[in-house]
Amino acid sequence: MLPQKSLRKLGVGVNYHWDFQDLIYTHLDRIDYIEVSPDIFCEEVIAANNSRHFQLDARKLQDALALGRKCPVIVHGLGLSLGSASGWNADYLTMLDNYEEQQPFCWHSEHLGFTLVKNPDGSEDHAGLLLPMPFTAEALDLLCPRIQHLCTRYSAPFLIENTTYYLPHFSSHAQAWDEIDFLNQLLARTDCGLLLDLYNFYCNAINFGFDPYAALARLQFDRVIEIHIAGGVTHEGFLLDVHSSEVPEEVWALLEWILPKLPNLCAITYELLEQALPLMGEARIIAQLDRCKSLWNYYLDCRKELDNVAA
Amino acid sequence: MSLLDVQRSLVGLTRGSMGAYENALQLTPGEQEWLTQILDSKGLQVTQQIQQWWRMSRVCSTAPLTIELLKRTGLTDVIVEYITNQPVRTLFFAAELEQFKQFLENHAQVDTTTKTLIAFEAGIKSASQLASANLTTPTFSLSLKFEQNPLELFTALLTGTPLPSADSQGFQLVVDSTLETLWRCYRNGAISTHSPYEQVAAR
Repeated sequence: MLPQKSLRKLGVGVNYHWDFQDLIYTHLDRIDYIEVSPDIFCEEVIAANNSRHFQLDARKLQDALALGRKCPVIVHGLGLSLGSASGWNADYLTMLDNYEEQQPFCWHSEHLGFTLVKNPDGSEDHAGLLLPMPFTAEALDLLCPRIQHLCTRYSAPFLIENTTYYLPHFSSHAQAWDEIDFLNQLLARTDCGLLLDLYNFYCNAINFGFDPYAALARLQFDRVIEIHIAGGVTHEGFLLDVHSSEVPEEVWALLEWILPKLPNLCAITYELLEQALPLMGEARIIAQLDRCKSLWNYYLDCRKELDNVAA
Repeated sequence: MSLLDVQRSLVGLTRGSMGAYENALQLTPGEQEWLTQILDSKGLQVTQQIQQWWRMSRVCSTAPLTIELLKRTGLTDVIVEYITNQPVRTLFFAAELEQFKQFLENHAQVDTTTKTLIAFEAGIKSASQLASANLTTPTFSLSLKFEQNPLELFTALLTGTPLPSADSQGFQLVVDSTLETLWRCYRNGAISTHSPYEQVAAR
């Protein structure tokens, strides 16, 4: 089942961290939902035989569950390593199964990338950060059945999120797909929705010198269910995805441009690193959410107008 | 080059080495060109730095006393050696701390006080995890002997004052998940107060 058939429009939200609790509780009139990464309630235990399992911090989970009774929750996973050729992190799914039993969520999402890899000797290496998938047929063949499994494993739909990358992409001579081609192929071959991280996409456009508008114009717009916006820093000439600051004006402009094109958009999430809270301060964060909310209202007006024209 | 080989290559490159594995691959000219492009790219350096920043932040936030002691005793190179040379195993704090502890325990340059201190910080993490899980069993308990007064050592590390010298009195520090503050200090068998230092346990 495609995700847009069953979803309600949530509005504007923020990623959850316990450091944001006061801010979220104080501004529940502005914040329509929270985006939770259940991984943050866990620690990973690595056994001598390299097997991994998550150990839950019940106190942190209970705090989030309490907030989840006040507003809708969506899930954004960090630790699945969806694209690992040597196998994803199955324990993440066990953890998500347990979380779903305690916290209903509107949808769940994961990053298009990998962190884990098995060596020829059977040992496992961790990249230490999310690395991008090559835009190849082999990667597509690996990802599609996994994504389709995620689309049906839970009662909530699944979204895939585009990521930032800083390395030149591997491509075989048989295909010359770019990021948009690859995302469209994933969407065509599965029932997942797209979590379009506009900031990530903007970073890639700046770092690799392509026109984000021309590229995004080729995207399958009707599958975009959620948008991420964020801000970051420039380092060594690269715009980095660190969620540490205000959304750049160029990303606001991209958002305004793309919104009327997205018939099934349900949510816009402002992503923020917990370390940014004392640096930015509450007022600046709320100003970002307010600006986002005014664009959300603009979006709703656009959709109403387009629906009227269509009727 | 299979997807698995591409991913092994990327992980190896972001750790600054491809080792013998790269030589074992039969690369096409196109694949060789891609690897060369990556090696020549500034993005590789940036990717390596991001990985190291995250790792450093995990170690600094879970073992701040040990990191400070290593710096004070002129062993900053040991921290750098860990971050740059030891394989990355996880993105999680406790598992990173455990790996850092094992690395220091086996390091010839690291003295007994530092090894005891990292055992304390890792112990606090384990105890707090069990305490947070609200489990009555299993429990975590660890007893550590300090050559200096540990309370004076913590104060010195937290406040930037000179490190205490060795003390002939026996100091024992017990980390236990059933204790309200997770740890307790004993001097010659008697409880030594540690209320000003509860911030360490509360981390």
